[in-house]
Amino acid sequence: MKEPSIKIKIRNDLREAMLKDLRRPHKFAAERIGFMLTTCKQFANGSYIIYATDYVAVDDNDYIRDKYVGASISSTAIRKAMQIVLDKNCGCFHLHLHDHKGKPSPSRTDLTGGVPQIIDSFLSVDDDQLHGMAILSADSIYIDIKSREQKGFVKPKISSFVGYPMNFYFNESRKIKNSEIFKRQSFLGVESSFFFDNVKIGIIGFGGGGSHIGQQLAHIGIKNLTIFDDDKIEASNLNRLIGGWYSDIAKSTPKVKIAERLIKKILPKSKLNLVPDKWQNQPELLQQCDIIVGCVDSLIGRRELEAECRRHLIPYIDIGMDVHTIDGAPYMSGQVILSTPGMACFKCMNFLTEQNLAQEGKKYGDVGGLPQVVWPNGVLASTAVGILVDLITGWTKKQNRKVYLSYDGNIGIVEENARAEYAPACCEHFPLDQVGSVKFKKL
Amino acid sequence: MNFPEDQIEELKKVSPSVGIATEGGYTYILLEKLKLPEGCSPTEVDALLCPTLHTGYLSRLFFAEKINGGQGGNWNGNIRVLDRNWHAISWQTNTPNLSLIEQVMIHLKPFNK
Repeated sequence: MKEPSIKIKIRNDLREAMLKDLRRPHKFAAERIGFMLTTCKQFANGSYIIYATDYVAVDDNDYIRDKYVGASISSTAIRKAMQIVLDKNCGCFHLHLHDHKGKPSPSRTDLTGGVPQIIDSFLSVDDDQLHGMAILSADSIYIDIKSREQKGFVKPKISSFVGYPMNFYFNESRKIKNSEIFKRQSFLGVESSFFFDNVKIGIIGFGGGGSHIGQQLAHIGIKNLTIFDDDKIEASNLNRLIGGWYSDIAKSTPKVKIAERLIKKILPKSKLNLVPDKWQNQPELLQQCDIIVGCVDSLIGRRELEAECRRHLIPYIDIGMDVHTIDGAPYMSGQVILSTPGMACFKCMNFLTEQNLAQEGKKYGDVGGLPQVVWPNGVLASTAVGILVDLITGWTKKQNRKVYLSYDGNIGIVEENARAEYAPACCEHFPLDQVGSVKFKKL
Repeated sequence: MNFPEDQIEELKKVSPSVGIATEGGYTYILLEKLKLPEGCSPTEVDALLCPTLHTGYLSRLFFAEKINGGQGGNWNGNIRVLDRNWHAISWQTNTPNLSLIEQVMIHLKPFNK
C-alpha cells in the first residue's frame, strides 16, 4: 500500500512547554517521557495533516527503576494515556527528549523496546486517529507515525514547529541547488532554495495587493502557490493589478488566469493551484497551505480567515490599505500584520475590535468607496513578502516576533505599531483546544 | 461561558441536539435540526446561535443554509465559523438580557408566516 503523505504541525508554545517538562529532573529516571496529543484531518487527495493539541506529562510515580534504559514507565502510565485517547478521540505520540542540537535519531531501544507496543495499544483504542513516537531535540524533531492501514511506521513528509520563524523539517533529502538565478539571495541560507521549492503559500485575493505578492514570490522562486480569487478583471482594476493588460478588460480575464500568466513567465516550473472561487467554498485547499497571505477587503473577512488559519496552524500575513479624509484632505494608511498561531491575534493587537467590526457595515474608507492605488499596495506587499521570507528561512534570526506594521502613505513610511509591543505574548482567543477538527461539547 | 441549565433545556424543545464550542473569543451554540416556523423551506436546519455581541448585533443566529419563508430578510451574514459556512440575515434582537430561547425565537420572527 502506498504511504500516505502526512504533515505534522506543532505550535511553538506547545513545543516549548513540552521541552520544559521533559527537561525536569526526575528523582531516579535519567530522562522523562510524555504524551503529545493530536488530532488529524484526512483530505480528499488522501493526504493527512496532524495537529498537536496538548501534552500530558507522565506522573513522577509512574516511572519504574530500570538500569538498562534512560526512562521506563509503568503500565499505569500507559493505561492513563489510553484512557485519554478513548475520552478525547485523539491521537497520541510517545514523546521523549534527546537534548542536543540537530535532528534526533531513535536509539535501538526506542525502536525495539516497548514503544511500538505502546503505539499499537493506542491504535487498538482509536484506529481513526494516527498515533506514533516523537523525539524532540533542542531544535528539531523525529517522528514515526502508525495508522491502521500501515503495518510499519510512516514518516511525515513535513514536520513543522509553527511560530516565528517557522521551522520546517522535510523527510526527503535536501538537494542544495546552486542556481545562477538565485545566487544573489544566497544570504537567506543554504537551505532556502529547498524551502522555496517545498513550502506551499496561499494567496487570498489576486487584486492590487495579491498580484504584487504573486509576482514577488515567483521572483524569489517559491514554487507552490495556491491562489484564490473568484473575480474577473474590470476596467477599474487596471490602475493597480500587476500583470493585468488593457486587452484583458474586454475579455473579462479571470484574475487567477492573470496570475498564472504573470507567474509562469517568471518561474515556469512553478506549481500553481488556481482557484477561481472564494476560499470558503474550497477550504481544504487553504488548509493545506503552510503560510497564507491575505489581501481581503473587509475586517469580517479578515476575522474569518484568521480563525480558519488558527484552527489549521497556518501563519497569516494580512495586508490592507485605506484612504480616509482628515480635515478635508485624503490620508492614506495601511498595515501589514502577522497572525502567528499561539501568539497575539488581530484581536489581541486591537486591530479587530467589536466596534470596528460593527462599524464596517458603513463604507470602508470614505473617498468614493474602496480607494485603491498601485504604490501603497506595492509597499505593503513588499513588506509582507519580507516577513514571509523571514518566516520561512529565519534569516534575520529574530525569534517570536510580533508583527504589526503601519503605513503612512502621505509621508511614505512603514513603522512598528505600538500595539504590537503592548499586545500579549500569548493569545487567549485561540487556545490549543480550538486547533484541528471542531468538537462541540454536548449540552 | 456557562448557561443556565433551564435555558439549555428550553433550547432542546426546538432542537434535538444542542452543543457548544468557542472560536476566536466567541461562544457559539449549535442547534442541530432546529425546527423552523411553518411554511419555511427547509422545515428544519442546523443553526448556530452566538448569544453575545457579534459584528454589531446583540446576538446572531446563523443557518447552515438560506431559508425561504415569511418575509425573509437581508442575508448579509455569510461567514465561515467552526469549519463550516453559515448564513444570517440582518436582524437585531434589540432587547438585552434575553434568555437563549427568546433570542432564537426573535431571530426566527422574520420567517414566520
